[in-house]
Amino acid sequence: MKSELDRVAPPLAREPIILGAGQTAFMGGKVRTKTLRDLAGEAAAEAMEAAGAKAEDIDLLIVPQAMGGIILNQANTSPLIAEHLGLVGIPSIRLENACASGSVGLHTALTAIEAGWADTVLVVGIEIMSGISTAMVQKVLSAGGDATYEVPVGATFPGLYAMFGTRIIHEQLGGDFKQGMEDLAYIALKNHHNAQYNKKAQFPFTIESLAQKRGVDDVWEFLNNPEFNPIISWPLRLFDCSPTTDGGAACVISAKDTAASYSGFAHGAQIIASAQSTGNMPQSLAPTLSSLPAARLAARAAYNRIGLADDPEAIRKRVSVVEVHDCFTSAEVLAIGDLNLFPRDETLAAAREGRTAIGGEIPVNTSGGLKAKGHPIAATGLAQIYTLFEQLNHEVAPEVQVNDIDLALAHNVGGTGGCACVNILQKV
Amino acid sequence: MEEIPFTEEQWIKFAQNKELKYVECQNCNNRVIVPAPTCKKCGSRDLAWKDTSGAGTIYTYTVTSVAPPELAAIAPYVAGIVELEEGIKISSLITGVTLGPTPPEDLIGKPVQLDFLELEDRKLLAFRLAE
Repeated sequence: MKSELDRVAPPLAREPIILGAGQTAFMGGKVRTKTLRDLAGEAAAEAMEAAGAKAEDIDLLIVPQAMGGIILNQANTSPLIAEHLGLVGIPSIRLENACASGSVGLHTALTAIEAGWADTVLVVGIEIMSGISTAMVQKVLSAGGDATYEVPVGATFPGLYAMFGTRIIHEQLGGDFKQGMEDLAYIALKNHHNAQYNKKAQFPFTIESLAQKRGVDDVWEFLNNPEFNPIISWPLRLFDCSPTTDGGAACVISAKDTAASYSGFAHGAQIIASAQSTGNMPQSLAPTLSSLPAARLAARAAYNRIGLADDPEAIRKRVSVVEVHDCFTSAEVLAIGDLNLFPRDETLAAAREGRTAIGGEIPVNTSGGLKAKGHPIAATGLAQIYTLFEQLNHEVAPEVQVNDIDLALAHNVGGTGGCACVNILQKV
Repeated sequence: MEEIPFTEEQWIKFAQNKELKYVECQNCNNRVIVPAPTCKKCGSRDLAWKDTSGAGTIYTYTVTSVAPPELAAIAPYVAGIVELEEGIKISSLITGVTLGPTPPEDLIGKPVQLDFLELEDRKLLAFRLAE
């Protein structure tokens, strides 16, 4: 029997390196403008070009894809995409772990590399969510939950993240929901602020600018007006929720001994820890609702794998930039607590106090996060990797570029905590 | 007498008959709301269906305004996680909460009692906030 560390964040003896990453522009709305093939083709082309890899270099294709079976009546996605990318003949897998599909795809790529079954793997996460009815959106969002014990009784996706929020506000603020909801709104303000510099974001603008467009100069007057910011699942309001998004993201990973032959090696990012863990389902069975135990376990194992003490100050000293899974603002609070970036009782106010902003103690979601960059379910984990890859290579806009990066960390959650992944990257 | 199976399908049948049941291991007393053929803790097959007392407290909750189609008829509604007297936490609707223009006071820790809700032909697990 393996130890918890070796199970959750296994040793990476072949020193896997991300040679190239790609991401489509994220978009949403009533009208669909791309297909799954289009998104995969675009994201993969950018990643392959950055890696300096050709189709014949790829030993395995992994296609994270979550909702196509429901929305598009399209299953069997891996041959669909393999054919499109000129990869007929090699093994391919379509893989689904709800919103963590992208990171599970990456983690699975590493298992093949470590086993020696593949040297170089292409992972392409894709999702289409535009052009569907509100009822279909609701159905899709429910699909990540428990169809017996959760969804029928209102423990929907937004509903459960709202319940996390209620519990956190109860524990950290003694039930002062006015302040708690304001603390959550600061997270949305910060992530939209970052997204204005991300040309691939779905919402590349600040909430302040949106308020002004609607004729409201004071952003708090805007956010506290139910006409502009209605309750979705209290205490979460519209601007606490990530959107539905079409998008694709990809990366090419190769073992160090084979990576050196690619032009992408010069700007490569080594995955020094990759952790994947499973949580309770239904979520009510979890011992706590102010933490996602799977994410806490994944973070602890990832730090342990690289010999980093599981202590906020020690972590902040080495981890310079973080992308976390903020499908709702309450999810970002859970994330920074589970990553132990701050003591648990300081997580709700971290954004309000500027601690997670660019130039703060540890910048969180420099891309705009799921909230403002967009959340194409199965592409999200790989889009986080794309952002960190760009951060490590000084390719993001100067306003959001973090300097002197030591370690870059991605945190990706499936459903309401049923699956969690933490990846830590370092420049080669 | 035919033994009642320890299946999720059976749990659903009980719930549709407005009975909230759980499975207790007769070897180690572990209690679960999601039945399985063996005890998750000790592996024993010596299991028994038990009735809950129906009493619990609110562990967390939300007031949902934008409801999924199946619950649109009762929106806005309160949903939450209830901690049963028997030590089991379960997702449920919560009834008996007066919803005004301002958010409800902090309901965490408040006592509730089992109260199924009927919606068309479905029986939905609910707990009523104590007066």
